Amino acid sequence: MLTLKQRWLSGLWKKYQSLPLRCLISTSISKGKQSKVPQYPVDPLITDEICESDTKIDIELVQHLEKLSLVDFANKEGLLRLQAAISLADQLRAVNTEGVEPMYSVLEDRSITLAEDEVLIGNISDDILGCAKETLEDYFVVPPGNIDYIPEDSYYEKLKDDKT
Amino acid sequence: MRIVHRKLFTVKTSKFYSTVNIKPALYRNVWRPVIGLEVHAQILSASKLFSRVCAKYGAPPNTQVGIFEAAHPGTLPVLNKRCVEAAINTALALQAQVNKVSRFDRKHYFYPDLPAGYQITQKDCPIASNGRINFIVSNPASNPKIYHHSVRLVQLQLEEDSGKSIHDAEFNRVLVDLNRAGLPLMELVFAPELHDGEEAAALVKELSLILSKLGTCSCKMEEGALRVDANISVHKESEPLGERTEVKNLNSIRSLVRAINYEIERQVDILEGSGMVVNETRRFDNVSGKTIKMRDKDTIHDYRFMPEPNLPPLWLYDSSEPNYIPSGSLDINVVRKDMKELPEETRQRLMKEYGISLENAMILVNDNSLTKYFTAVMAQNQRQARLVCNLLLNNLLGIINSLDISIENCPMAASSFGEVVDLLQNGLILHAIALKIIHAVCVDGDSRTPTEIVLANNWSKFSDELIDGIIEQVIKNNFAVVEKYRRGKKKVFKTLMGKAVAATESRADMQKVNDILKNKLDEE
Repeated sequence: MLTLKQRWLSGLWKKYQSLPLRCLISTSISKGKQSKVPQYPVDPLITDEICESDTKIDIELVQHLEKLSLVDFANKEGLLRLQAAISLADQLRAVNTEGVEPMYSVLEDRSITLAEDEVLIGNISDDILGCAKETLEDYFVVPPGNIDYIPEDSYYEKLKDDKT
Repeated sequence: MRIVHRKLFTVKTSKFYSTVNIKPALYRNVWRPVIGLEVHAQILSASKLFSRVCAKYGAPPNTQVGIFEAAHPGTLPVLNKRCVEAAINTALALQAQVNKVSRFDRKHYFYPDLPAGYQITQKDCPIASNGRINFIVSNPASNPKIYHHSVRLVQLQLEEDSGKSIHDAEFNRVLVDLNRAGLPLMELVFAPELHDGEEAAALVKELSLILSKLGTCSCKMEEGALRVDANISVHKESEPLGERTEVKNLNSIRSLVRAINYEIERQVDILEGSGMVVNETRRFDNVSGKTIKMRDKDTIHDYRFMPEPNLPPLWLYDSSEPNYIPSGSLDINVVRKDMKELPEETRQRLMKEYGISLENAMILVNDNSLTKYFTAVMAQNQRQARLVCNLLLNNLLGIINSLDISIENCPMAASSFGEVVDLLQNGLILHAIALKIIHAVCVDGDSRTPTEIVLANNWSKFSDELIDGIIEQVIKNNFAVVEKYRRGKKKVFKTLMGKAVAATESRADMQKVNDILKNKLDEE
């Protein structure tokens, strides 16, 4: 018998398989070692039909998310990815979690390892500042904040056209 | 457990001053202000909260930045043991419950001084909750009595600080220094149980005394080590709480008091003009003494809190509990055993051991070095505490303050000061001479002992026989005036007294001179 935790993880895995993100979480499979993550779906009950998302993606939602993330993604590929992410999350609703305490992480029963309070890293400001596009007297230079996100005039028009 | 502790506390304090709750004054007879504080205290540690990068104050820009604070992909947080201990220590000092399991969350912002785009903090499961701070409010302006106040600590959480931004308006750009990014903070959230700026100031002063004593925070407000946000609202007594505003980043006690009092007045003005107070974030402008609406907060923030996936929960255990299981990162009891004497306990001890007043105990405890100086003086020769307090707090402090020297670097050692007290207490010198000695040592840099100074300057007090002889002489030399006095013109006594004082070179007890002179005049 598989535990609920394992079933849930397998559900996640199944969805991730269909996404390019897969490469990110499969890195634990290395030379000859067996991954702890189940490779195949464990709970046959969770099907695409059950998971069909009823979250509506409209322009307002896209606008809000773009503003929060400061990322433009209102194109076909971006919306597809958003839809996939929402469906992935929606799977959780299909799992019966009655009487199960919510988990924060899979390492719930372990405590943080604490480090001694000692300075082990010296001044690496050359390396750190070397990554910056612009610096001034060892400060990072950035544009002034609080600029409202103003999309191009035709941006959302184009999005509507894309959809139809 | 907590309630029992509190009861003990009140019983202990009631011996010395009233714990009767004083009803706070209403503003313009109608309005009751309600204030809650959130305090960010930087934890005094060698390295940052989640990385082993130096945490010293005042380094050149971006020289104390590791790859973690710069949010390079793949970097992971490693929690600092010292910071957890400091948080537990502070929580215990504030009678809070240290939670056996606490968790970390991500709070998202998009600011250039926060490269990861989120701050690691503790929201729902903080390291400690449900504490209390007791403090003394002394505000002669609104209340002649010193009174005791107590405010609930809702929670204490660990979180990382952000970097610093310098706004360069001329070139329309922002300069960022990430040295502060990732420094450890304790956020202390207090319940809205304060009623004016002075009470808020008293809370922050007591808190910084406690944190300094524990060594968990430097409490240097001028360095931003202790920053206060105040939530302020006013309402009518019979009505529910009013809409509140939040004044952010108050970095001195003075601006805390001014900001709160200004904000109370502003809100009352609005409400009396039948306007509405808007829930908003404001900042205090030191120059104008006004609070100003902050520009960037007019849109409601969506912090998108989520559990921090890179940190497992923090489990703690307490070996003082029966049947404890020693599993977790730290033993709370080890920190508890290391607890220092808290400022209130020191006050109570000084008052009990030496019989000094609460006012004097408060002044002595406000400065750790001063407490040490006082106890060092009192340790020998059964010195009178009242005399020591008077000479120390009124005279020595006055002189070194005017020289801008702290008691720590006082040119007069406690042993030397004690010698002055002994001379005074044994009637060998007068109070005025004691001042002269202190002045000689502190201002003129005289390196001799007080006794040597007294002998060298011939400053010792005149004995009764000596005074007797001098007055005899005064009477002889001013016979005409004495005759006038004896014929009933009592007014001339003052003239004779003046002559006697001049003859004693201010080295005799005036009361004694007065008595002896009177006796001699009335004798014949």
